[in-house]
Amino acid sequence: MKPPVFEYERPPNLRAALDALSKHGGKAKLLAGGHSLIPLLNLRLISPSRLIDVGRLSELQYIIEEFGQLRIGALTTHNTILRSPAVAAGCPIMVEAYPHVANHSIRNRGTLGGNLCHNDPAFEMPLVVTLLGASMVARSARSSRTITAERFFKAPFVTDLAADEMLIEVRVPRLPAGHGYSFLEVSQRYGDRALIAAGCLLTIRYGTCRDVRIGFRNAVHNVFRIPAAEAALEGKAASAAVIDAAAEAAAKNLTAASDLHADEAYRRDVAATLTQRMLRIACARAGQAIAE
Amino acid sequence: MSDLEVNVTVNGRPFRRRIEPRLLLSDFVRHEIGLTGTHVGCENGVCGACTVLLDGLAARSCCTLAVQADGRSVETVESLGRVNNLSPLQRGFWEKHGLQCGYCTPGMLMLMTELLRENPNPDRETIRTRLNDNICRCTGYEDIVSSVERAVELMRGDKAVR
Amino acid sequence: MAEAGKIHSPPAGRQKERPDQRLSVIGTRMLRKEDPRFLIGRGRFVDDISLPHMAHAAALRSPHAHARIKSIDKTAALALPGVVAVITGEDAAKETGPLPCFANPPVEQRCIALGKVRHVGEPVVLVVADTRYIAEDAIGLIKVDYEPLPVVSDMMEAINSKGDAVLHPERGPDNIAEHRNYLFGPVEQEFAQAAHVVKRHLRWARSGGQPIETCGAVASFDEGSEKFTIHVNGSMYNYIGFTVATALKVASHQVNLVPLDAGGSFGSKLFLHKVAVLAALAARAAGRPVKYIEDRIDNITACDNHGSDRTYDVELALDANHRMTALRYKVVDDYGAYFQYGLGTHGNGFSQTVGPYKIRAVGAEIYAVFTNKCQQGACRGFGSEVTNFMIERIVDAAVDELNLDPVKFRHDNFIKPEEFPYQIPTGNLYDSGNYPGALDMALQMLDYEGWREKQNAARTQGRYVGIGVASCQEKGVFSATEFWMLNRAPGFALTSSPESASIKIDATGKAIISLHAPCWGNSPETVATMVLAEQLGIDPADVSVTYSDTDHGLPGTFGIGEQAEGDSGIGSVQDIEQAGDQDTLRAGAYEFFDGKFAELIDDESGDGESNQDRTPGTCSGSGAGGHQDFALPAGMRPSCSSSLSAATQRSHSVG
Repeated sequence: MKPPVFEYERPPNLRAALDALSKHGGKAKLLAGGHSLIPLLNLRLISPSRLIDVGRLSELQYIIEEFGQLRIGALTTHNTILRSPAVAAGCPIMVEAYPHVANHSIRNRGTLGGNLCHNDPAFEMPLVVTLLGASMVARSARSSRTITAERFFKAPFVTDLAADEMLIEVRVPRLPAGHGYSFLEVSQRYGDRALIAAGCLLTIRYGTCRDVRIGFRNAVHNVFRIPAAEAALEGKAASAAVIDAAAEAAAKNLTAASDLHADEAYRRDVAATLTQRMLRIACARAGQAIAE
Repeated sequence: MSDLEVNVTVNGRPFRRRIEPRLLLSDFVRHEIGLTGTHVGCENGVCGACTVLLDGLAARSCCTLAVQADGRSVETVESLGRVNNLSPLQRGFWEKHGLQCGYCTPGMLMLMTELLRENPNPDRETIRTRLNDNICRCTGYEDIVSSVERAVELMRGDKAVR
Repeated sequence: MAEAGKIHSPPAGRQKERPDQRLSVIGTRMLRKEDPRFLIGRGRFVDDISLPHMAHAAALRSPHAHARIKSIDKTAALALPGVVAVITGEDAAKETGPLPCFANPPVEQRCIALGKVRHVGEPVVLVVADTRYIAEDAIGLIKVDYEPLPVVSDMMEAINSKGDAVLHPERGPDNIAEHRNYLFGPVEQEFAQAAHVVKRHLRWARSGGQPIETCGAVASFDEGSEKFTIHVNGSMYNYIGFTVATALKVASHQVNLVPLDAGGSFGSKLFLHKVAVLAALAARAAGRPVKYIEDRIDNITACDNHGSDRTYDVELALDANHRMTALRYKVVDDYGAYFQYGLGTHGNGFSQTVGPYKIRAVGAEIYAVFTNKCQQGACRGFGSEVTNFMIERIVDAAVDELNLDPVKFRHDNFIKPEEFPYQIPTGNLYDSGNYPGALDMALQMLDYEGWREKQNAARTQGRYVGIGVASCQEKGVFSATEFWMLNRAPGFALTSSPESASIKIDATGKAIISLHAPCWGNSPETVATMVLAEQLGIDPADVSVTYSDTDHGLPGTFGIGEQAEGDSGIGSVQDIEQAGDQDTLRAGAYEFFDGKFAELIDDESGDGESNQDRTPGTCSGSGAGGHQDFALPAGMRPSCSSSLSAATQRSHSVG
C-alpha cells in the first residue's frame, strides 16, 4: 500500500503556500501532519497531482489569548492544544474531548486545522468547535474571510473552503467562567472511531440554564447541534424531568444512521443516555444541583 | 515525479539521500538506511508497529513521508541499546516476557521510550492508556505493561534515561 | 475400532515424565533465548531479506466476489518504466500447476486466478517491478474485463446453488464440497433409548489470525542448477514443503524452502504455498530474485487461512440418571472458495469429539460448502475450539432444560482419572487427564461457592449476576490422529507427523541445535535450550539454536515450541541418553523421533488394519498430499546410534 506519484513542494512561508494553492487549485492537497492524508494515499483512494507541505509553517502554530477569545493557529498540533493551560482555562470542553481524538501518537503530528478540514463524520473537533461557536479564518492569495462553524462544515468530508483557500486560524470565543460543559463518546473500544460523540455547553443564570448547546456526531452525517434538545432545557431550571425531555428530544431528532458498526436504534438509545449524563455533568460543573 | 535530496539524522548520524517525495519514512528507514528494526504492519496508521521518534515525538513512520523528516531527527529501536547493554525498557521487556513474536516490539519500545522520557514514573493506568496507541496480537498486553513497570524500577536504580 | 471405554495399559516406556523427576533447568525461569535479537531490532523477518538485484511483486486483487475473467490488457502496465513482468493466470498456468490441496478429490486453486475469480481479493495479475511502488503504479494501468457471476455468501444458500452460482462447476453441479455421514458407536440405538434428548441450533462465526506481520516470500531461481531458493515465513516446510515444488512443476529437490522469524501466525502462516509459489514463479519469469509480501488488504482478503464458519444442529441423548450417552449433530461449514485441507478441522474435532465426557456414541453429518469468500485454513484451534463450543453449549442445554447443577453434571459425566487411557467412540485414545481435579481447582481458585452466594443475594435486589462453567478438553499436540477418523482406511500413518531436531556438539563441548520448524513467537529456542541443557548437563549459554531449510532439514511439522505441552522433545532426548553412551552423544550428530504413537498402534488395530510392516521413506495416502510414513523398521526404537551410525563420528570425549 504505497502512495501514487505526486509532485511535492514545501513553501517557506504562508504567502508562498497560498500562491502555490492558487496556482494549482483543486489538483493539489495540503499536507500538514499527514496522518489522515497519507493513509488515503497509501490506499490510493485519492491521487492528488501535488502535495503542498505546510507542516513546518511555524507562523501558523500558536495559541493566543486575547479580547475574550482564543486564537489557535491551524497548524498547531493536537497534543500542543491538549496540554495548553490557556485552552484548559478558556474552553475546557476541548481538553475533555481531546483524549478521544485518534491516539497520542497521531495527536503528536496531527493538527487542528487538518482535522477540521478533513471533517470525517466521526471526528470530534468539528463538533467541539461548533458547540463553542468558533469561527474559521480562511485565507487565499487574494483575500481573507471568517466563516462560522455552522457554515464551515458543509457535509461529511466537505468544508466551505474554496480550492485556493487555506484554513489558517480557529477563533474560539471565551465562555464565562464557571460554565458547564461535558464531552462524552461511545465507541467499541477506547480509542476506536466514535459511534456517537456528544457534547454540551451551558451557563447557569439565576438558577436557569442559558445558552444551552447540545450536539452530536453520529459517524455518518454532519449532525452537530440539535435545537429541539436545547429548547427543552433553555431558560429552565435543571430538573430530572427537563433533562429527560432534552434526552428524548435528542434521541428523536438525531439524524438516523445505520452502518456496519451500529444501527439507528442503538445510536438513538445511546444519544439519549449520553444527553442524560452530559447534562448532569455540565450542571454539576456549573454548580447547579438537579431537582429530582 | 522529481527526486529530492533529504538530510535526515537517524539515531544521531546524518544521512543524505536522493529520494522520491512519495517514499514513506518507514521504507526510508528500512531500505534506504538499512535499519530493519522498524516494522510495517498495516501502512494505514492503525497498528503502530512502525512507530519511531521524530524530533523526540512518537510518530507512525508509515503515515509520514521521508521528506517530512528532512532536517529532522529520527530515532529507531536500534538506538536503544545493544545485546550486552540493553536499555532499562529493553531489559524490562526481556525480564517480564513483554514479547513473543517480536514484531510489534520495536514500535512498543519507541512509544514507551517517549512516555518514560516525559514521565519517568507513570502509574499502571497511564501506561495502559498510552499503550492503547499500538496493537499486539501475541501477548494480551498485560506483560507489556509489567515490562514497562519493570523498566521504571530499573531506571530508578539507573539515572540515565535512554 | 475397539469398543469405546475399554481400558488398555500403556506400552512400556510411554510415560515420559516421572513424578519423582528432579529438574534443574526445565521449568525454571529462564530469560528467552529469542528475545535479544527482537529487542534490538535484529529479527529476521521476510521483509528484512534483501538480495542483490531483487525485484518486487504486487498483486492486482479481484474487486468481484465471483466473476469470469474475460480479458486482461497489460499493455500500458508493461510500458511503465521499471516494470519487469506482468503475469496473468494464463501466463502462470503455463509454468505452474494448481496449489497444494489435501482434499480428495482436490479442489483446484491457482496462485493467480485462472478463468474466473472466486472471492474479493483473489490475485488476478502479478506485477513485478524494480520497486513495490512502481508495481502498484502498474497495477493501476491494467485493464481487466470481468463478467460478474451470481455471488454466494450464505452457507445455507450454497447448499442449493445451481448454474452460474457454482464456484467449481468442473467438480459438480452444486457448491457442496463434501457431504459425509459418520456413525461412531450405536448412535441411533442410544437416541431411541434415551430418557431425555436436548437440542440446540448453534452458530460459530468465521475469524482470521490477523498477525501484525503479513505473509510473504523472497524467491530466487538459479538457472545454473535449476533450483529455487524461497525464503518464506510459513511453517511445515519440512513436512509438506515438497508440494510447493509440485506446484512449480519441478522435482522436490529443486526447491529449497528457507525459514524465517514470523511476526505472529495464529495458524495463518501454517503452510504458505501461495506466496511461495507466487514469488518463485515471478523470480523464474523475471530472471531476478523477487520479493512478494502481502500488504494488509491482501492478508485480510486473501490469506487463505480463515477459521471455521459453521452452523450446527446438535442433539444430546441422556439416560434416566442424567448421563450423556450419545451426541449427534448436523453441521454446515462455509469453507469459502477453496478446500485446501478438506475436512481436516472436522477430523481434528473427531480426535477429541466427546470433550472430557463419557459419551459413548457420536454421529455427525457434515456439509462442507463453497461460498465466495477467502478459503478456510488454519486458525487457532483448527476445529478443536469449535467442537468444544458445540459440546459445552449442548451440555449447558441439558443443565438448563433438566434443571441440573452445572458442576455436578460435569463431574458425573467426566472420564475419571482411573479410566485413562480412554478410548473415545471415534477410536482415538486419550492418554491421561484429571478432569474432576482440574475443574475443582479452578472453581476453588475463583471462589465459585462465594460467587454463587453473591449471585443469590444480588437476585433478591433485582440484580442478575451470570456465572458460566465450561470444561474443555484439548489435545496437546498436532498428530496424524487429526486425519484418521475421516476415512474408513486412514490415509495417514500414525507416525506421519514427526518432529525432529538435530544436535551437534563441537570439539569444545558447545552445542548447536537445528530446529526444523520456525519461530512464531512460541519460544522454540528457549524450550530446545532448556531440554538440551537439562539432559546433557551443559550451560544454556553454551547452546546455539539455528533453523534448517528443506535442503538440510529432517522431517518436522510444528517444531518443539508448538509441542511444549507434549513430551516429544523431553522424552526423546531421554531415549537417546539411554540408547547411546555419553561419548557418542558428545561427539556426533543425532536425531530423534517421536515414535510413541507407533508403539501404541501396534496394540490397537482392532479392525484388522495394521500400520506395521512399512519400510522407511515409502509414501502412502492419496491425493495431492501423499504423506510419507516415517515409521522405523519393526523392533527399532528411536535412538541415535541405530539411525545415524554412519554419520556419527567418534572423537575424544569432552568431560
